[in-house]
Amino acid sequence: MLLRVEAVTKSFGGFVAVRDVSLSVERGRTACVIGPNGAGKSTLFNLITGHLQPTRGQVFFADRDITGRPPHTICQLGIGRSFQRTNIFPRLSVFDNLQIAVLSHQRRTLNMLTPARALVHDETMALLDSVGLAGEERSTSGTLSYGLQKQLELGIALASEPQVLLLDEPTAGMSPQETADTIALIGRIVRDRGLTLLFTEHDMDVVFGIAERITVLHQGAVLAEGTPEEVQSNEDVQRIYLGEAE
Amino acid sequence: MANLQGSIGEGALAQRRAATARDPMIWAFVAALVLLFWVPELILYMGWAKFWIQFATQVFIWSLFAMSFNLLMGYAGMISFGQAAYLGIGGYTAGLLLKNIAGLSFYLGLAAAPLGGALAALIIGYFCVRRTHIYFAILTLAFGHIVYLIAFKWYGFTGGDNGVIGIPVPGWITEPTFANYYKFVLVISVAAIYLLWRIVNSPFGRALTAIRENPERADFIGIPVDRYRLYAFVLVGAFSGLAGALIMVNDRSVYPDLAHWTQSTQVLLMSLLGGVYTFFGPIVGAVLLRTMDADITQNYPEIWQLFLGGVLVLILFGLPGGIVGFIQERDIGSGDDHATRTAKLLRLFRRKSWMFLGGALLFTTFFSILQSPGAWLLPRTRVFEPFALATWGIVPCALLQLVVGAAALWLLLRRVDRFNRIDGALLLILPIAALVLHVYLGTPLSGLLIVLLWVIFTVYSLVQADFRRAYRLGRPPNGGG
Ligand SMILES: Nc1ncnc2c1ncn2[C@@H]1O[C@H](COP(=O)(O)OP(=O)(O)O)[C@@H](O)[C@H]1O
Ligand SMILES: [Mg+2]
Repeated sequence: MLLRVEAVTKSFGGFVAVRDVSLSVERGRTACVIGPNGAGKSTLFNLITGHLQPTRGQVFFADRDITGRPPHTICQLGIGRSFQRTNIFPRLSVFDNLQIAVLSHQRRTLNMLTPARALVHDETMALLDSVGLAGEERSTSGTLSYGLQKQLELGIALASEPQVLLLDEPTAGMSPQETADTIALIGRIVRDRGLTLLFTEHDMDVVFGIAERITVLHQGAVLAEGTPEEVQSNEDVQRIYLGEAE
Repeated sequence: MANLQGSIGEGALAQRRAATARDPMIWAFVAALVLLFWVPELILYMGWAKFWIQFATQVFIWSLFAMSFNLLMGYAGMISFGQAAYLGIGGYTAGLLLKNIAGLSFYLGLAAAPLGGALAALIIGYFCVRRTHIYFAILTLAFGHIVYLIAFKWYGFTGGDNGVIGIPVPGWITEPTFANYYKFVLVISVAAIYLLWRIVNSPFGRALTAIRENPERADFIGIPVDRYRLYAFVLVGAFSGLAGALIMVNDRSVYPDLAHWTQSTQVLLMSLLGGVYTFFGPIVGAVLLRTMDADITQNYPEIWQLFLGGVLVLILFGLPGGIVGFIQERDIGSGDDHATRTAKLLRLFRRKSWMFLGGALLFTTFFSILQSPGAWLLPRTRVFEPFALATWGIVPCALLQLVVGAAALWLLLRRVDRFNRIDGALLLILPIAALVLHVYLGTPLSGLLIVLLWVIFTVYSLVQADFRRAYRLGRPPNGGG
């Protein structure tokens, strides 16, 4: 198991957003967390990546306890992520967005004297191409279309050459066409790089199309877990989740 | 990544490596250094007041202070309200060392100032950088005031409000024309500003920009945000300390005022005025504020505050990017081609023209108030001649200028998209007319300022073909012409 979440609980004041959730993802597999709005999916991701500290429970990455480590350490260890609300450097160019991520991955950001302009140029351009942003390198990233911003964020996450990629609703707010393109892009990248993927998604076609294992969250707790077929045929899931959503 | 590098020829790689190490901006800095080096000789040769040598020295020091401050505010997005503390600590460190340790080398004393500034910034920054936005601002303000109070109250150590006076400096500094110290400060500040330039353009500078833009994302590309904020704070503390020591040597004394919060607001204003998201903006701000300060503060302290407030309000509403930021705006633009960006700039200019007019009026009125204070409705001579503008009072004169200026702007901007030759001629004649009018009115300085702004905003840009096309013909970029 490359990524293992063990019985984590997160409460905000009295409100329990994530309750005793366990989940694990094998190396090279694609897993998905689904659940209605407010089920605790984003909170779970934030617990894994160190943006939130679990009230109880532990998170292991490659058999290493990473519970409570700060986000930048977790990123350096090899977990990349995108956020539900697009999270880029909006006033920087596309190139600069990716370049700083590559520089940081290569631990070169303490260099105070070398002009950054020409550094890691080729790596950055290769990354830019691989997420389908060729030709956009000089655009201000905040002015890109929503779909392209999501692609850029994917590129930023890939810059750290992660082993596990966490994508929080990668197609939220996209048109059907954009959704299809994005999923194809993600699929290709995951295959090419041999990545382990954990994502959340509301589009059931997407989920059942690419996920190998699915965890269903409901009101912060795990409702069901298994292969797409198992989850699809689970009565609780049909009653509580799939029924409402479709 | 490795295979990619392999596919590039050895030569190309070596070339890129060389390009990485080289920085063409160094020649601009060297040129500035060489040109400015002979300014004292020019001033003496032309027989201008020696005061200007001293004045230029102060401008350099404040530019250094403002630009280092802007590393925090503009690049790292940390708005410190207590930056004068490090100015003061630098001044006191060097001053007290030189005063109390007989025989200490002047240069060693000076070198201790950035260390003192950095150390203080390390201690204070440790408590501040974890907080962001308003909390950071308030904490820095509070710590800054503590530093001021220590300087002010601790008579045994700092001399309290008596300051530290009679600090020994080498004889060559006290040379009466002040040219030597000018050159000393020039070399140090150009070198320090070049260092700042390298820092903001280095990977570290990029990391700070990333932190400013989005700390959460910066954290999750592996940048330890708080630690980098602290590094930036300490670095800037060192540069501020250096500036403080240079001010101390300039005065050969140091008073608690150096650490007072009003100094912190000065440097904040300089950055805002010149442009926060630009590297050289704070120099423009420093020059402007020091000029106004030198001219005006001494004689008209009340008006000075009012004027400063007015300028600030205009800048914040009209040019949120500051003066230099406004000029550069088109270059920050998106993936648009140059012609489209220029057309956008023009439209921006049209939107901002009211602020331009307001600024010009403010300057004029301000200078006429200075010239004949109290002559609000009638000239002091009380002799009013309708056809001699010089005999008009301040208020009617301002109103007249408002009407004329608004009409001129309206003429110019009514059809930015379809501009003819007459409009083009007007565009060139107007600033000259404004200058003549202002010389006639006895406020040549504001006339010059108007011309300067005008040149920056329009004529400077007219040189460019794209701009000309957008302004004169207004065809879509692919429409040719
Ligand atoms: N920082 C927080 N403080 C308080 N409540 C929170 C916080 N973050 C999330 N929550 C709550 O936790 C629940 C789960 O949120 P979230 O993880 O964003 O759900 P999902 O991503 O599944 O839609 C929601 O009810 C939300 O209001
Ligand atoms: Mg969510």
